[in-house]
Amino acid sequence: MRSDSPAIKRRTFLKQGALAALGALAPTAWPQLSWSASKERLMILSSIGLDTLHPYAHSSGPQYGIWQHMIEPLVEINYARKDYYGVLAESWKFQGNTWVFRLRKGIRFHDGSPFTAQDVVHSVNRIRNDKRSLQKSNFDDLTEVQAPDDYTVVFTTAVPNAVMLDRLQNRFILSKSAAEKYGEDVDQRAIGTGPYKFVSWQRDGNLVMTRNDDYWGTKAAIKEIVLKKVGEDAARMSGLLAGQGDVVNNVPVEEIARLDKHPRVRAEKVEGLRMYFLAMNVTHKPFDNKLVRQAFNYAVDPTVVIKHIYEGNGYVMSGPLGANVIGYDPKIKRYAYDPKKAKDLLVQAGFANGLEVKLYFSPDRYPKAKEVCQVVADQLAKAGVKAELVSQEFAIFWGSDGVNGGKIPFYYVGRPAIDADTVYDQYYRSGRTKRVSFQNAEVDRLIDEQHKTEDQKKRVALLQQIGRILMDEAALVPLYTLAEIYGVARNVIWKAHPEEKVLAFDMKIR
Amino acid sequence: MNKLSRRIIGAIPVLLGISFLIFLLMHIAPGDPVSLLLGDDATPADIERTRHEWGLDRPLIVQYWDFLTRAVTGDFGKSLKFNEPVTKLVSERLPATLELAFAALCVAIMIAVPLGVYSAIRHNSLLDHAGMSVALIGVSLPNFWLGIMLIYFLGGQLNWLPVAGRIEYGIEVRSITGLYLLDSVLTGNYAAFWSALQHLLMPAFTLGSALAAIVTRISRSSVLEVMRQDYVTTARAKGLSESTVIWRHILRNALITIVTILGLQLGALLSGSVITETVFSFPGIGDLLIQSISARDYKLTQVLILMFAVTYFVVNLLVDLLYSWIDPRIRF
Repeated sequence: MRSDSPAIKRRTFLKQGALAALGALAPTAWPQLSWSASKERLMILSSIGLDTLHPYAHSSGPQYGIWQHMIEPLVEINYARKDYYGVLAESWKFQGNTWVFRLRKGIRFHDGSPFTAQDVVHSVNRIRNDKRSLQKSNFDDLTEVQAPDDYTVVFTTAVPNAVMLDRLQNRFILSKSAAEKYGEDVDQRAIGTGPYKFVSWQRDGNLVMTRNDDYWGTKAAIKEIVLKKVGEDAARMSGLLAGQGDVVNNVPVEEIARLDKHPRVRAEKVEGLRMYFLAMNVTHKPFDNKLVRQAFNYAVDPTVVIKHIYEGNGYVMSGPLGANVIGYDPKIKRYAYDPKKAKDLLVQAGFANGLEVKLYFSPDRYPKAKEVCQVVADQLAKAGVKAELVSQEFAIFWGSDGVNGGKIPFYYVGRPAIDADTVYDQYYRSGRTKRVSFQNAEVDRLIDEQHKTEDQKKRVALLQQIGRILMDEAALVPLYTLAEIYGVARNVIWKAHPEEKVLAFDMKIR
Repeated sequence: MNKLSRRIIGAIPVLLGISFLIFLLMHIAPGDPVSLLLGDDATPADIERTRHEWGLDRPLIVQYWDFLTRAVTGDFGKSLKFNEPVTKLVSERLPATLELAFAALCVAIMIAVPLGVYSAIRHNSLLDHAGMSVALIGVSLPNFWLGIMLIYFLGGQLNWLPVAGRIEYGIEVRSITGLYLLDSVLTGNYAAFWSALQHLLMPAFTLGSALAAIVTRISRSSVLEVMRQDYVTTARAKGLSESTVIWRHILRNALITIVTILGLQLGALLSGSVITETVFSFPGIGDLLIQSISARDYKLTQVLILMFAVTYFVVNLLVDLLYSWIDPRIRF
């Protein structure tokens, strides 16, 4: 037997109770998703998150760009002038085997300890000796680093090293006293002298930094910076357009028009430092033959790639270097696109019936690599070269079974550089790497000579001379540099950096 | 209980075998973590030096033995890419994946079981056909595509939900279980609860949708089969109300099949999380696994795959235990 209906049934009670609870919570608690960029706060949605707070355990531009908010180097480059300026260093002198740096006075680390030459010695020694350091090669020829007084540091090298400033870029200075105080834990704290202080970080989540109000230089305009990793392109664009972020990096070229039409955001572009080229390993046939290498240069026209694949967002390289790189020579001219001449050269080289090659590329590393290589293969076909495309995961492409093992004869690659010394040394100096195994005694001599030339103008002239030899030898098929494209809220005043860095201390709010 | 301990002990050689296999496969696969991490500037001399410093130039068997002897003490070494102890990285990330997988499971159950049961009870009706068509679409949609579409409409166009991440910045959750939803309720932090829920909705729906499609079809056929059993006819003949017949007699008996499928699919959810987490930048072990494999981070990959294997094992064990709870005739 059922009892008479109670005042309220169990189900009705549960239903109404749940609705009331949700109703009470929802409007007040549903968190706000978007704010406009303001002097108080700016949100960067970045395709790359911070991998580690240990500033020597990585060697990539975007990571340097994140650390640089909190930790600073001795010197930094001015891309417009192609020259270095002092950050923590005030001045420097290069003579013989030594570089003497005078440091700025009155700078304090975020923990309050003063910045002195001992911190520089401590940091350089950590870069050289720390087991986790991935930056040791920058100080290969450094024999000693000393601090004769609190504001002087002397670097002594085995041989004169004119490119020390290039090596010191992105080598960040940490506090020695903080290291003594916190031990290994110091690498979780990012205690530097930078314009922002570390607040919190969840790996692949948010990195929060707050303005260093005691900063020694020009103070940052925005109080708090949040960097959120958003790996997926579509998600980054959606987040920017919805106002969930104020700055995004790695904008796909197809999105530029949409951003520029949007009332809240704009696209910001700058010529990047990564130089794309077709590398030819001369230990493999037919690339040991200069005529073949020249033929490939005549056969490829990068303007087509830039126009149709990157929608005009690229810059043709006229020689082995991009226009932003120290050592660039505007007088060098690339081989003009001429498939007929390419064909003739191949006939001269003994390939009257054409030839077959494999073109390797890594689609997970370089944007639109597959499409680019398809166009290149099509252009090569017009010169009688049948190019088979081989796509490889970057770990395989770049490893000892690939480029670095000298196993790949012909490949599409992008290489960033600030100073031509590094790229020339690694690709074109005899026996240095197996990437192209290029050998030329004059290039070796010039690389050595520029390496010890104190006068920067003379050094650049030597680098330009190397560039001319490389083009004459057709050591590579230069292609282009690409635009680094960012999406930026319209009220953020910011000029993008060529070096894949999103530097929030350069930003201002309108 | 005997059977339970036997199964746990039996899992040890399986896990050892898996660990050896992963170790071997990772090391013989082309690609080298050192040249990847050292990047463009590295010369062969730098690569060799670093390989030596990290002990990667030792014979494989020595490296494996070293891994194993350390592993039994709970030391799985440091990740090459992230420069952190592997156990720390995994323990930070595992709760996120578990939370996502359970949320996806809840989405699947909430959509699929009522839809499947209703379709069965009203089979051949319009709703049945509509439900089955939706299920077919759901199972056919690749979840990365669905994820991107959700991000585009619900995130980009409508701005209802965050496009990525696990919680809004500035909101702290005091960690008890590592599951944000649960922890925020336990600590009474409702701002964190709503934020975690906001971040979880799209990934959970993306991950749960394919499972929901499968479970809808299985629930429907399972209920249809049970409905034809004699004891259901008997129950109806006794004059029991329709709801009692459905809940007590049909659903309870149909559950065995549904639970089996859910259990089997929970493993698939974990592997599905690899893609979903990448699309939503959801910081779980799926996303971490992709990063570790791309970087050839041997130690981290090894532990993550072992983690997946252990999870499969635990889920299967739990499903077996659930059987005996649902159907007391089943005994171990």
